[in-house]
Amino acid sequence: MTPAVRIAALIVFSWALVALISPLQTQAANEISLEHMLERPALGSGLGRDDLGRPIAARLGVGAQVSLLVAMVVVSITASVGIAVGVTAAWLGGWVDLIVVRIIDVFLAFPGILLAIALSGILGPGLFNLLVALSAVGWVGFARLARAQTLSVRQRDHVAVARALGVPAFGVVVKHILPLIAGPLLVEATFALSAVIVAEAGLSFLGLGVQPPAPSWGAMIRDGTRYMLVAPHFVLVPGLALMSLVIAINLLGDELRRRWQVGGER
Amino acid sequence: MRAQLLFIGVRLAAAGSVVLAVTLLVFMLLHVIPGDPVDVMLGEYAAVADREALRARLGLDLSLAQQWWTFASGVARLDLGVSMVSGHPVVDTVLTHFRMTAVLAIAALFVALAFGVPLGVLAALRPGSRWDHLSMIVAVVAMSVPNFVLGPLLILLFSVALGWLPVGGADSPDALILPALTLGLSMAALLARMTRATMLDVLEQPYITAARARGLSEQRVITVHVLGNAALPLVTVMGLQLGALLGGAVITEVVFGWPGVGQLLVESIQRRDYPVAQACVLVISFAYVALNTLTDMFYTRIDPRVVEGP
Repeated sequence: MTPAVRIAALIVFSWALVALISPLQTQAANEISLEHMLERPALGSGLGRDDLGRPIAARLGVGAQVSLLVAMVVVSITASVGIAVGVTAAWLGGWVDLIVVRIIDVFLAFPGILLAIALSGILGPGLFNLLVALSAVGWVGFARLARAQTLSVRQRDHVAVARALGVPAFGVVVKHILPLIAGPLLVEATFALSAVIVAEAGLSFLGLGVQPPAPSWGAMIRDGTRYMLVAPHFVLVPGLALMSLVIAINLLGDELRRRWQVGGER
Repeated sequence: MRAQLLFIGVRLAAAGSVVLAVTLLVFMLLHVIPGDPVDVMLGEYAAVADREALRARLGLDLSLAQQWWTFASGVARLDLGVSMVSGHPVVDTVLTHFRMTAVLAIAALFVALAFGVPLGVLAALRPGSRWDHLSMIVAVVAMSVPNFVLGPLLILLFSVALGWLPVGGADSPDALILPALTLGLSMAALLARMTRATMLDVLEQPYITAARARGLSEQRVITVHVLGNAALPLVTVMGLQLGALLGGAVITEVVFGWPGVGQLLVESIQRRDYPVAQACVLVISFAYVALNTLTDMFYTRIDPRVVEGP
């Protein structure tokens, strides 16, 4: 492990810890005190205050919790659905596979976050709709990867042997295929985690995600951009927080990918 | 030549079917998703008469099949109705904004080329060196920073602190610089990584050894033989990325108030102007499909080997 990877792991761990203890700060995070409006960060007074005088540090903590929870829920849903769809399509082949590939193609015809913006725009803002929009978009990556990986291992000898021995299809998939394709899927899940964190913050930035007064990093950044001339810390603090988390997760993903490739090329 | 024409035909047919499916999906967004768009537009407590009037105006009182026919034939005739807010034809508004998005995307592509390729080449020439590590870490960082963080950071530096560039809008040519940097830098990072990986691949090929054995200067080997052969995968990535830029442009445009189709999309969602929002989504995804198809076709031109296969 290089020092960069170690630091990255430490950063992710710290944010998880902050998110875990953040329920203790929920009240402080929403306490308005206009006499402290846009106060700058200073030693002893934390990371400064926002446009309603609420402490940015406390809001950052609660925002971390929202961010990580959304990411974990969405990635759990999209990974399970995507892997199930992808493996099934590759396993069954024929017209099922053809239809799945077509559906994936259509979803991939929308660049990046566009479909999530459109969906959450139509569904209306809110945490639940946010989860729906991000899940509806996120499963495609897992399905495509799981399908390709399954296709590449389903012809292997041990799979043929298991089938010849009469192991039911479900058992073959779970015991003899999934373990072989777990590595790339884990790498995909790591990058999906950071992608969902960015997407959630992006939608909240556009006002389509988590609604005020609940804190969200994206919404904090949007509010902060309105006060850049007078209170640069208001946009800098949540911006750097988001950057640190996303960069750290991506570095870990890179490391996982490198290890997997080394292991796979033996 | 026939194989190439066949390939192009197949590719166009595939793109056509995707376009049709995209149209269907965008139609379904508004008409099939649970929840009533009329509720969202007017609020749950609107008078029944108002709701029915809006329903009739949007054609939501017709059968689903009739609605689909109206919508699809409208798309084919480039008639997507009128904006519910301004009353102007949707197509005109969206195309005006799309021009601005195209300008931004092309400028971002230049940024990506100007930063990404040199960074990747330098890293590949000295693999494993400190410079290589540094440039790849810079690349990971640049790829990880979301547009709505990078944008405000650049504004803070170049507009607020240094006062060199405007904060936003599109009133002067230099207003394009910061949005283009914001949108282009993450692509530059990806391009740098791809350039490095492809160049390292090409450098191991026998024809490079052969070129060196013939006594060509290292500079000539790198510029003509290595970069020439590394161009194909890079063009592919760039084509696909130019499409992805269109998605990233949505948020970048909002950050800088750049009057493109992305900003129009977000504005029309906030105003509940669904015909305009629908048209924005359609235009962006059509452009995306078109770019991907063109990329495919382009690389069959520069590498005839691609046509092999079906």
